[in-house]
Amino acid sequence: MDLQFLDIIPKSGPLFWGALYTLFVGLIACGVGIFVGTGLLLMRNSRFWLLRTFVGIYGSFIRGTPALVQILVFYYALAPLTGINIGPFTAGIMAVGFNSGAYVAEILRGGLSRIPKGQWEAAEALGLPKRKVWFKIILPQVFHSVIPLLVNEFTMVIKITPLLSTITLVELTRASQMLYNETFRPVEVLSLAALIYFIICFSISQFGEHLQRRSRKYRL
Amino acid sequence: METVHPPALNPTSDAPKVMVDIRHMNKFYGDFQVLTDINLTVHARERIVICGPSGSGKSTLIRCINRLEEHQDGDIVVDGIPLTEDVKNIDQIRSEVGMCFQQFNLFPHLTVMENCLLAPMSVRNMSRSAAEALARRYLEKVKIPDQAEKYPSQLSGGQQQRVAIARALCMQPRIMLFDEPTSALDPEMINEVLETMEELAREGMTMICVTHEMGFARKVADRVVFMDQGQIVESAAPKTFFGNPKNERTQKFLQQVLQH
Amino acid sequence: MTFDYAAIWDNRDILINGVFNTLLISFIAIPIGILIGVLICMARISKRRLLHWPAIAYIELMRNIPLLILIFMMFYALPFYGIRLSGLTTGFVCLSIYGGAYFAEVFRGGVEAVPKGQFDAAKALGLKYGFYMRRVIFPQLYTYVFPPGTNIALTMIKESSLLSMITVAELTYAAHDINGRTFTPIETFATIALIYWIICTVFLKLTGMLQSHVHTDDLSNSMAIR
Ligand SMILES: Nc1ncnc2c1ncn2[C@@H]1O[C@H](COP(=O)(O)OP(=O)(O)OP(=O)(O)O)[C@@H](O)[C@H]1O
Ligand SMILES: [Mg+2]
Repeated sequence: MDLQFLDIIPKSGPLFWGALYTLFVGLIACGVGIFVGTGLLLMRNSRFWLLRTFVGIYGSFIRGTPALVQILVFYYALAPLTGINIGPFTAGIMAVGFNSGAYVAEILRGGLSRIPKGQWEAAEALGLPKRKVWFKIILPQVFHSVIPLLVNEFTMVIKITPLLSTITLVELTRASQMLYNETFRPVEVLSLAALIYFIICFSISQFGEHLQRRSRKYRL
Repeated sequence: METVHPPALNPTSDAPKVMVDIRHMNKFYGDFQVLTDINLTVHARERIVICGPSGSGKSTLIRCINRLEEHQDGDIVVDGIPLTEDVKNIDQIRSEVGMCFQQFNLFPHLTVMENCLLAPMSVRNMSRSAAEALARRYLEKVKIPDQAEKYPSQLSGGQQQRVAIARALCMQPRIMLFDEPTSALDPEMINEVLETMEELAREGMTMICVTHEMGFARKVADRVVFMDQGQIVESAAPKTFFGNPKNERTQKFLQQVLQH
Repeated sequence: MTFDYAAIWDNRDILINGVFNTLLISFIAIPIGILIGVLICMARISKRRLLHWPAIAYIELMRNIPLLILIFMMFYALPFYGIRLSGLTTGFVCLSIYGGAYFAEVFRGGVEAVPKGQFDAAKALGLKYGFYMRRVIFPQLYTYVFPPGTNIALTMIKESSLLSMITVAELTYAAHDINGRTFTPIETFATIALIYWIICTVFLKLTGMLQSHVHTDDLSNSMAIR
């Protein structure tokens, strides 16, 4: 069968909007992920064993179940359970963000373990309250050291956004499904979608690696 | 099996054969020139010690001899075989040149015996029994016959280095290269390794040793080569080298090394 | 609200079939993925351009497109070329070639972590490339490769859930199936989440045991000497 990219490209406007939507959802979800991840990190280091246990259970659940199932649980189960009617958009972003949060927490934990003990001691010797020590001294350093990994996490988030097509979000994958159902040209449409995903993820991951190389040069 | 050479135990003729011949050799890492116009001829049974300050290119030089590093210009001929891109030549040279490293580089997942068997059996196609007999002989020579079934991590540094020497000898090399074999050892283990090397020298092995052990150089070397900034600055018999060094840089280096 | 146990219990056959298929897909795709990973890794670290560059292209392609797109391409696009694979076959193929790229990177990381002196010593002894890779380098990879490799395998088990979208009757599909009959989304999805969690936890426990059984201390000790 001959490929007819020239016929498809003029009709590929929806793919473009789908890609933008993917990026938009990805960014918000990543923001949620960083927020959740930071929260988990703080809870992990809290005085209360209940919070620490919660972090363990949370991580185990996220790492032990497929993202797709998490999204389905969120979409189908959580709304009726809590009585709040969150639409597919919020449910999707929450699910992806909460998923990412567990991995962000792991990344931050790695960064935290590399902060020298002297930083804590110096901050405490200055008499700073605990909250200030965390937010003014420790966390900024942690975040700075894990920026390349967080950039990489963003590509991970982009790669799970196609799952949101199951809950009717018209992101890139859903947009391409609709387009090939209309044009009966899955080869061309899916190739284009793959190309767009590749360009997005590849450029982000190359950027991440660039940052990594740079940070390695400055660290001893 | 015709490629198995007896180690240079019994010299057959008096005319010393050229074992390593390096002519006008240059080596670069990118733009950085590590070695400049190196000329070095080593005859059979000769013992060469190479010394010089850190970063002067000693390791790079001897690693060029068995192509662990690639040189850019000039010629290297090892035992009559020119060292070129030709993989066959490289393989042949490597099977005739043994090497010991500063960090021993024993294979940690293999026992001492297996470390010694690996190359003779795969490169020389020796039978296991023949290779084992050979390995036992050399392990005995380096004075650790009873550790054959242990893993490298269960041995002391000095023992590990002696195993590394035995492993290299099992290929019955005609030339042995040593790259600071005692630098990673605790002081009390240095002597056991040096003694092994001295014995090897007595038996007539052609040896090129990078070392800072000036006592060893005095006692064993036929020639001491001093390198600085990628060049061979001075090359002389130990008596002249230590007693009457010509070059200013050599004098400075010796002052520093011999001070303690 | 009440938890409708009956909806789950009455459809347990569907669930059991789903679990079986999920395990089947994972435990065929993981070994094939590892095999592909080894081959691609060998090509990736090779100095021959004809092996090196295609391997890089393969790895980067797989790592930068979502698995779902790959699955859709195999399932919806290949038939246009006269290749019609069943959903299950598409699943094996996609998961293993996708996982293979990730395994390849894990193995490469391992090869790079092996101290350079090991390569020097092997070369100095005159060992040939294929031989020393097989007998000297690969046996040492174990310690470096096991933890990240376990992670990739775990991810593959979880990613097999995407095959529900091309109607492969694995666990997630089973949940959709039951939900379609009983309209009990909370019960069904919570149940399969739990089942996945159990599968993954057991898998991690088993691999954890495997890792501690092999006496890695010899390896790590001698690494520490350097
Ligand atoms: N892979 C490399 N890339 C770039 N430069 C290198 C590389 N290896 C070595 N060099 C440089 O080449 C020079 C010679 O290194 P070499 O290891 O041969 O020195 P050396 O005389 O053996 O020193 P030492 O006594 O410390 O072992 C050094 O300046 C070093 O920085
Ligand atoms: Mg050196």
